Amino acid sequence: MSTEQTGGPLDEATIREFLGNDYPRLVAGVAMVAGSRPAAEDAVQEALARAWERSERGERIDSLPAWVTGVAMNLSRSRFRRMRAEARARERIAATVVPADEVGAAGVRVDVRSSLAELPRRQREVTVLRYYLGMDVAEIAATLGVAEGTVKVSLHRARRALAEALGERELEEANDRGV
Amino acid sequence: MGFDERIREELERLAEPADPPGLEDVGRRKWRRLAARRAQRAFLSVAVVVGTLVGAWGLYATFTAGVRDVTPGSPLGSYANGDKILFSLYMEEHEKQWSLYTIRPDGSDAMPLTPDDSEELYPDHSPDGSRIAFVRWQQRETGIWVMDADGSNQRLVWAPSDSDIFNIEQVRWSPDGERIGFVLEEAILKDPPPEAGVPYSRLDQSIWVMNADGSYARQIVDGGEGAAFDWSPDGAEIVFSRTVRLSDEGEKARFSSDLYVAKADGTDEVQLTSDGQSWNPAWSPDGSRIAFDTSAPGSDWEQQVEVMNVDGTHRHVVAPGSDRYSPSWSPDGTKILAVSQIDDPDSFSKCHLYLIDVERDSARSIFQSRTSSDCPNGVSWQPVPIEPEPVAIQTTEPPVEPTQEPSPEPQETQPVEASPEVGLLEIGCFRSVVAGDFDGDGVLDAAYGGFLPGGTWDTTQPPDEQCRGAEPDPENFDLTVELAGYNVAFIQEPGACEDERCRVFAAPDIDADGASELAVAVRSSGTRVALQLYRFDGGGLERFEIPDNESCEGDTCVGVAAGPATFEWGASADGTIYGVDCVLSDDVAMLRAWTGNPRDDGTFFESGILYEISGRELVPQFDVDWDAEPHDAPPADLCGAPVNG
Repeated sequence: MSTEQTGGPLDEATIREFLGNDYPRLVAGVAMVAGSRPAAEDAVQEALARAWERSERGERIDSLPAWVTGVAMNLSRSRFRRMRAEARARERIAATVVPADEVGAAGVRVDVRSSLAELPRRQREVTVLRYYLGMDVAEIAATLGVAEGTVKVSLHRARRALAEALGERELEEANDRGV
Repeated sequence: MGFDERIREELERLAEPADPPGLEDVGRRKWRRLAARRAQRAFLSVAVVVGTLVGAWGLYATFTAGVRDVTPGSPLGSYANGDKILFSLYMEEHEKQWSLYTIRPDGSDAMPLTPDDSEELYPDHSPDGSRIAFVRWQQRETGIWVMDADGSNQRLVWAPSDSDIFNIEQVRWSPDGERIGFVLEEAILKDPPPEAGVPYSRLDQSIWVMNADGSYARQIVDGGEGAAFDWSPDGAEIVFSRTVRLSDEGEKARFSSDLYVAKADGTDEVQLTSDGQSWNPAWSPDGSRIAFDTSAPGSDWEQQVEVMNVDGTHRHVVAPGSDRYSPSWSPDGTKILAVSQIDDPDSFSKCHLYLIDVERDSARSIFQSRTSSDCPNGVSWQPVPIEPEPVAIQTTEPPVEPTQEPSPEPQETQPVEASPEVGLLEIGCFRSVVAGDFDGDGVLDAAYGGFLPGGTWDTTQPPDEQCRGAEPDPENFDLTVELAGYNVAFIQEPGACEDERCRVFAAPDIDADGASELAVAVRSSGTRVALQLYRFDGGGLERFEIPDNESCEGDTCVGVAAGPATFEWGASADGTIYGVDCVLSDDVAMLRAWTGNPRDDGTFFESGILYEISGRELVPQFDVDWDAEPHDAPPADLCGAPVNG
C-alpha cells in the first residue's frame, strides 16, 4: 500500500500510481476474501471510481489505498448478496468439494484456501488484510470501521482456525507466546 | 519458519494479482456516476416544481414527510395491522452472524428473535401472522424451518438432499397459508475441481413449492442463474424474476434479469419486462401493482425501486434517491420497505431499511446498521397483530434488569440490609442499576446510570419516551453514577449517555482491596461504546489506570498508552451486553472486558480484551487463549485474591 494522498482532488497521476502499485494486490486480496476474481476486480474499480468522484466533489481522502480497500470490501459483500453471485453457502461449497485425499503436492495451498473459505467473513478479511496486504491492527480497524479489539479477537480466532487446519497448532501457540 | 510467515507465504502463493485497467476505464465509471447524480438532481428539481404547482400544502406535506429525521414513536396510525417487521441481519462482530430481528415500522423496538448458535435468514410471516418460516444454517446443514411468531416451537420442515451443493435463498408463504414457496440454488460443479478458485461453473436457481408441512416439494419454475418471486394476493399466480446469462467471456459473464407472471403451478408464463434489469418483484396487497428493483441509470451498483401495474403499464420509479432494493409492501399497500446501502461520511457503507411512501413519493430511513455489515434480507411485514395491547404500567420503582447482568456481586458481600436511604430513595428514570460493595465496608451499595430527574416509567411508550413526567433535558440526560445510600460518588459526564448504552456494571474486586470495581458503559463517540472502569479510593471513585504496554506480533507492535482503563468497541444491536469479569487463563488471573450476546440457556458469546492482573495494575494482553466456546455466566470471585499478584 503505497499511494498516499495529502488532500485535495485526486489527480490522474495519483490514480495511475494506485493502478500500478496497489491495484493488482488489492484485487487479489479482495478475491481471496470474496471467492470471485471478476467480482473483486469490479468492486475495486467501482471503489476507485467512487473515490475519484468524491474527491472532485471536495471530499478529502487521506489514503487512497485504505479508502478503496474498505469500500471494495463492503461492495464485494453487498454485491454478492444482491446479485446472487456468492453466498456464504457457496463458500461452504468451495470449502468442501475438494476431497482431502486429492490434495497431494498442492495440499498445503488447498488447505489454506479451504480453511480461509470456511472462516467467518470478518476473520477472512482481517487475515487477508494482515498477512497479504500487510496492514497492522490499527490500519485494519480503520479500514473495516471496527474497533482494534475486534480486529485482535478476529485475528486470533482466524490464526487458531488456520493452525488447526494446517496442523500447526503448537507452532501457532509458540508464536503467541513470543517463542 | 514461524506460523505468521507461513500464512504470508501460503497467501502469496494463492493470490493472483490482477492486471490494472486503464485510467480511461476508471474514468468512464466515474463519469457514469456523475451523470447519474445529475439526472437524479434534475428529477428532484422537476419534482419540486410540480409540487409547487400542486400547491403549497402539498409541497409542505411532501417535504415534511421526506426529510424529517427518524423519530422513535412517531405516529403511523395506519399500521395497526402490520406493526412489526421481520428481517435477518448480518452482525459481523458475532460468531453467529445471521440472525432474525423484529422492528416496528417507526424504527423502534429492534430486537433479536432467534438468539442461539445457528444462523437464520429469509424469514416470512404466515398469512395469519402466527408462524414464521425461515432458512436456517446449522452445522453446515441448510433447511427451511417454521416456528411460532414468538420464536417458540421451532421445527425443520424441509431440507435439500445435499447442503454442500444446494442452497435456499428465499421463503414465501402462500396467501392461504397452505403452501410455502422457496428459491433453491444448485451449484453446478466443475469437473475436475480446480486446485484453487471457485469450484463451480454456475449456480442455477429454481422456484419450488411445497405443502406447509414440508411434503410434496416440487420445482415449478426454472429461474436461470438468479430468481426471486412473490405470490399474488389470491394465491393463484406468482410473479418472479429470472436471470439468464447473455455472454460468457471467461468468468466475466453478463447477465439479464426480467419479470414474469405465471400460474401458481408455474405454467402459462407471461413476460412483464424486457429491460434485462429487473429483480426482486413484490405483489401489492390489493393485487393491482408490482414493486421491483432495477439498476439505477448509469450504475451497475446502485438499485432503485420501481412500481408498475400488473400488466406492465404505468411503470415509474418511486422516491428516487440513494441505492434501494428488495422492496416489500406494507399490509395496507401505501408503503414499501426497501433495503439500502449508503456510503456514510466515513466512507464505510451502512445498511438502511427505508420506508417509502408510495403516494407522497418520499422515503425515510427507519433502521441503520451500526457497523459496516451486510444488509438486512428477507424483510417481512407482520400481517396481523399477534400480541395483546400492552397494559400501561405506572410505577416509581426502578426497572431493575437482573437478567442482563452477569452475576455482579462478589462472593464476600453481605445480604442487602434495609435502610431508609435505600428504601425511600427517589432516583427517577434510569437505564440500569447494579449492586456492589464499592467502598469495601461489607454492605452492598447501589449504583445507577441514566436520567436523573424524577419521573415514572411507562413501558407502553417507545424507549426514549418511557421516562414520563419529566422533560428530557439534554443537560440532565447524562451518565449519572451514584452510590446510593452512602453518596460516596457522583459522576456526571454531559452528553455521554445518549442512548441505551448508558449502563453500569459491578466488576469483581480486581485489585484485591476489598471493594468491588465499577464499570460504566457510555457512548464515547459516534457509534462507539466505551466501558470505563472505576475503583473506590477513600473519598470517591477514580478511574482505573493502566500502565504503558506494547505487544509485538511478527514485525508489527501494538502499543497501549498509560491512562484510564477504557475498553472501546463498535456498538452492536439490541441484545448485546457489556461487562467485565475475571477468568483464569493458564492459572493467571485475567480481567476480561467483553461484549456478548445472551442465549436462551444463559450463556454468552463474547468478544473483547483481556488484561492480566498484576497486583493493582492491569497489563493488556494480546492474542492470549480466548475461550471461543460459549461460557457460563462468569465467576465473580476469581480476582479477589490475585493468583499472580
